[in-house]
Amino acid sequence: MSEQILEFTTMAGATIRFDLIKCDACESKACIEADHLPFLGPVLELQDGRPALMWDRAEIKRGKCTDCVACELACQLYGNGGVTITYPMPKLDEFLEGLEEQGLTPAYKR
Amino acid sequence: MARLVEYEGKTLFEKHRIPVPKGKMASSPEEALEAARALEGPVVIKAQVLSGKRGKAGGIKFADTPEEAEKAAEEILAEKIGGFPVKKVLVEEKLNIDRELYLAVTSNASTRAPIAIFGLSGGMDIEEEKEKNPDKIFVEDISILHGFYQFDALNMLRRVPGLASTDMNRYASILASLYNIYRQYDCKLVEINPLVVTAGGIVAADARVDIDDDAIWRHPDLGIDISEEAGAREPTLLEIAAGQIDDGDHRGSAHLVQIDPDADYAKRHNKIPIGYNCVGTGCAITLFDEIYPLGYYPVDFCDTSGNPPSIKMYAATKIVFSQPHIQGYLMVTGMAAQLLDNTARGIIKALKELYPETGGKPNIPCLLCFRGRSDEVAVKLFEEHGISDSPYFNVLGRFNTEKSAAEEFDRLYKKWVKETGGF
Repeated sequence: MSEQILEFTTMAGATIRFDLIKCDACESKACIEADHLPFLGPVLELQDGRPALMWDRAEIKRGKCTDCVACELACQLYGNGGVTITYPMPKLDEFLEGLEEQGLTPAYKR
Repeated sequence: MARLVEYEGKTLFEKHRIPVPKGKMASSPEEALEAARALEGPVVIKAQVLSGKRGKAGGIKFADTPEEAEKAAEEILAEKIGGFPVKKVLVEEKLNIDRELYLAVTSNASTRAPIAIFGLSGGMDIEEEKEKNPDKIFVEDISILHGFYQFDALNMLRRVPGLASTDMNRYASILASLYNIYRQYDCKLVEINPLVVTAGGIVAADARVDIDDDAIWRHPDLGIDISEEAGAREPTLLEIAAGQIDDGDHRGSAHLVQIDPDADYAKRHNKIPIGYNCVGTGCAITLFDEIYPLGYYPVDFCDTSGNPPSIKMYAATKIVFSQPHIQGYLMVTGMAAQLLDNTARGIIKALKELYPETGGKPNIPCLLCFRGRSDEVAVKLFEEHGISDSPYFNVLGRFNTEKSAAEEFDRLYKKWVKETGGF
């Protein structure tokens, strides 16, 4: 059985996750095109019709992936919603919990 | 810079055999009472805050009995010093002072090397004292290659008139220890002000240790959160969150300082608090000059420049929008060489996550202005993602100034208030 998830970590500490089942059903492969924009060195290529890494994970984490988030945004607009990028911000989470205790709301929730 | 509070600095001093007064930390009046009982005598209760001049702000009180210490701690713990609440006090034995001196090791910006300083008057502002009584301040350049040993300090102190040789040895030993702390912990300043001479010996009555922000990661043992430079106060959680964006990632930078965390200044001056992000601090200052007279006050100062990756912009945007009091968002770039399409992508990702129900259209008026490399792509990205459709959202391009950006934000804000009632 082929892999269902492609996941890797970037220099910034973000985790980029491709749901390859969704990618299989995607016609546009917009993430690949977005990853090949001018100035941005690509890290993705199509292998057997699926997004795959052009470099090993150590190189990706060392900065080959520029954390441009273009793949995720392109996927949202033109793909099948298979790409998600998560970036942990524990101190921001702590701040938001503290706000709630004070009865305050962040501006985006007002 | 990261600054240790007094008791943390004194803990470092003790490790380096610099005598400090007997004392104990307290987080409540009851703990202060117990600490004073254990010390068995008159005590001093000191607010543990980073703000200078805490004495004048009522952050230092004396007590002859444990009950007085309890009351004093209660008063201090109810205080705000420099706008920030006092969470801890240090209860210390009261010293019978014969003489006060000043000792420090710091960095000399001119020579780009450390210097040792010895002053014959302690407890004063060293800069003022240098102006008033330059003959009482003794400074020694230190070669970082050679180091600074007790015999180097002795050579320095020989220039001080009237010092007994036994005292000279003791002060030299402390100066050498201060240098060791300065080097070991990548400090910008290690200061004892004052070093108190009592009948029983010498003790560091205060401790100031400022550590280079960029070196904090090398000292996990100190337990300091990497944060933005907050000046003479503890960093806020949002500043710590912002500080962590650049941690371990050298590509560009995201700096954020909360100028007015509770929007108190803005309210008192009848200004509208807004979130603020610029690319380039020069642009940020110019824009501040334009937006302030229109009635707005940026409660944060955020600079994302040096070509940061989109993910940093995303994180910075989330932080700015998390501030509870802002009633608008203003983001302007200087004539940036950085890839502004990357800047735009970070903002778009943040807005789409913060406002999933509207597809990224914010609930507050927002004005963005991109000027520089890939600025046209940046503007188009907001159109492509449907965010520009919002009636209170506009993205301007390179043929705009800080003035026109501020005026457009003002127009959007007034429209938002008129049509929605605002907050």
